[in-house]
Amino acid sequence: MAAPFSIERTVIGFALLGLGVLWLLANAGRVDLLSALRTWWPLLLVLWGALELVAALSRKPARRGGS
Amino acid sequence: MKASKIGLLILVFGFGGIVETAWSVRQNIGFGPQGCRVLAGRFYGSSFTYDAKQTQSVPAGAAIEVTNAFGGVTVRAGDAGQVGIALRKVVFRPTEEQARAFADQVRIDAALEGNVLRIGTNRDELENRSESREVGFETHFELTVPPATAVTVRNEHGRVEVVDAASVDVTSSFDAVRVQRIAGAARLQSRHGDVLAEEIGGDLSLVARHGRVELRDVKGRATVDSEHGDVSAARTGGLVVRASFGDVGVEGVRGDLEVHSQHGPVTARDVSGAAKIEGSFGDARIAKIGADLRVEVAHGAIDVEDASAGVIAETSFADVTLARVGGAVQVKVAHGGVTARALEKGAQINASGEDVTIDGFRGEVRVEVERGGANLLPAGALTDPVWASASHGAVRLQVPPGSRFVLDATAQPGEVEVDVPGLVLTSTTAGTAKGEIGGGGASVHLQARNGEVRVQPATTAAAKNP
Amino acid sequence: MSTSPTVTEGVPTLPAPAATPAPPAPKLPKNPWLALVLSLFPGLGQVYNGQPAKAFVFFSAWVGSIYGSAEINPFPFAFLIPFVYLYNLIDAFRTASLINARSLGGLPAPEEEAFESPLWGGSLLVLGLLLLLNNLGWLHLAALARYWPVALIVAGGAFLYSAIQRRRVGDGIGRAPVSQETRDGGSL
Repeated sequence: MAAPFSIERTVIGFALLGLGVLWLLANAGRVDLLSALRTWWPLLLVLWGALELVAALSRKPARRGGS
Repeated sequence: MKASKIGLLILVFGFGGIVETAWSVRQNIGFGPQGCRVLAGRFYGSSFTYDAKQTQSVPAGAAIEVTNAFGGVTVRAGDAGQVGIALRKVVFRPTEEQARAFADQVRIDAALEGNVLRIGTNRDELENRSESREVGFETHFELTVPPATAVTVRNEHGRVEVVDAASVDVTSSFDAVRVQRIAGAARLQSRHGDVLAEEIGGDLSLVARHGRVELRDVKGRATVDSEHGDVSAARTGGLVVRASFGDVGVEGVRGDLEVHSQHGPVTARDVSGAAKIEGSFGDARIAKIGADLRVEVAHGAIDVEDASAGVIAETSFADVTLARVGGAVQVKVAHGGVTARALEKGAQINASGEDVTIDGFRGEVRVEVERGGANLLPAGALTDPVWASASHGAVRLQVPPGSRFVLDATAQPGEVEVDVPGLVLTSTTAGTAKGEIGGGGASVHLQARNGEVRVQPATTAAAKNP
Repeated sequence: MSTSPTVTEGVPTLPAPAATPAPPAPKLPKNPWLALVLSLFPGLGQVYNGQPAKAFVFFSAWVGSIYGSAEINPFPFAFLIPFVYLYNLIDAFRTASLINARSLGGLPAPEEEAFESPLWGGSLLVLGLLLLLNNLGWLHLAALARYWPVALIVAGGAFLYSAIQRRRVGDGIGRAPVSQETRDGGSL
């Protein structure tokens, strides 16, 4: 059974969204872009891991095919 | 696993790696967000210079704090009760009219907050404006402050000079720092610029990266942390130096000396107190030490002269040379030899790879050499215990007149040759010899494995003057 | 079509059947040799085969091993260079052949891999949290660096556990091994 959504695309989407927001704030002089990126980039891994974990724990056992 | 997952993993870690690296570079190089803009070409082309002056009254004992970028800061002593501020603005614009229009917007910011006069410019404000963000301009301060003022300077991309102040605290990057005639303490941090500190009345703390460091006449205790630059210190109080990738040269320390050096030679001369030197990939040369000396070097030779007290020396892949040591000597050498002269209080030496030669010693001596020989010549009549062992090398002992000891010499395999007038052999077999001279006394034990043992009369001048 | 018998010297013969055109050779979607030649630039053959993610991985591995060999240490990165390059060539050729075989109906379509083991997601989550806490200053990973061999111990334990589990389950009973490699065009 295929996943209802693509986890990779979701992660990339959030990454681009977050990068865009941070950059906008940096251009407005509200944040230092490099410091913010350096602090928060591991959230990508956290988000990706959480999505994978949820998907794995909610699946039915899938029979894997081979060739 | 899907290739897309692996691809995304590479992408995420690659992005994280780039961000971490960029952040680490910015932290270590020390320039702020403004520094990057030097590369944008704002400081090229035609420029125009304008001056502004201002005087500010200050209460007695007020401190001065200067913040600046892209320009020098010079602070000197002036009249009491007031601070003279001279600002030179250099504006990079194609026409004089444009430059003057911009220069009129650059102003001196001087505000007295409590007992601290804070001086700077409105550079941040100008650079945040979109219309002036791309204009290159330099701001050079020349300040005159009341005598005995505590001065703090934060600058980047400009020379800093502070003279005749009560104390000084300087943080600077990308240009030289010079502080002179400071009555009290000095705290200096510099990156990518040389540092000169002289005539400091109090303690000195210095952190330097990628620049040469020179200290002269520091009355208090000096602490130096330097990377990628030579360190030279003369006439200081107690001194602690941590250095890497640069030469360390120290002379005239009135107190204890501590040096931790990596990838650079260390030279120390005339230290009144104790000295502790640790180094790697660089030789250590020490002369005239007033108290105990401890030297540990990896991959570097050790050369010690005129040490009044004891010496502990340890090195590898290089030799140790000692001359005129007044206290007990302990030496450990891996893959190197030892050459020593005039040891007054005995020695304990472990070496491997090369010979150990002691020319003129007094006191108890213990020498153990692997893959090398031992050559021993006492400074006078031998009356103290000697224990010498060599493997794959010979043991040679020269005996001055007047010596009194009991001899036990063994060479297995090898031969023992004893030819000293007055030495009576009590037992000789193949490879061993026992006897005594002068009626017996201290124990002299000589042992060679795969080498010979030779006991001969001394013939050097040192042996003729017991 | 002629239906009347032809008489040749008194011996009747059946009319020759009309010639039927040979069925056209099926057009194969991919040319394995072209895929191989394109893969002389790592990743391009995989792009040709319609596998952009795999192309990115091969290209990154190729560039990364050259960079590692030059800037970090020739060992072990220098060994990776020929391995990655040759594997990229072989993979491009083989994948194109498999795509062709599948289009001819000779091989079943690959079953879409559904989900990874929970360990994958859990590992990502834990790693991300550790890095985040380090960047926030609540954890000092540098001080824990000396304990990195614990990861080897944990990995070894995981392998042993999985080996014991397989022995208990036995052949053909229970689910397929988690790390079975599928050889098809849709996944590594």
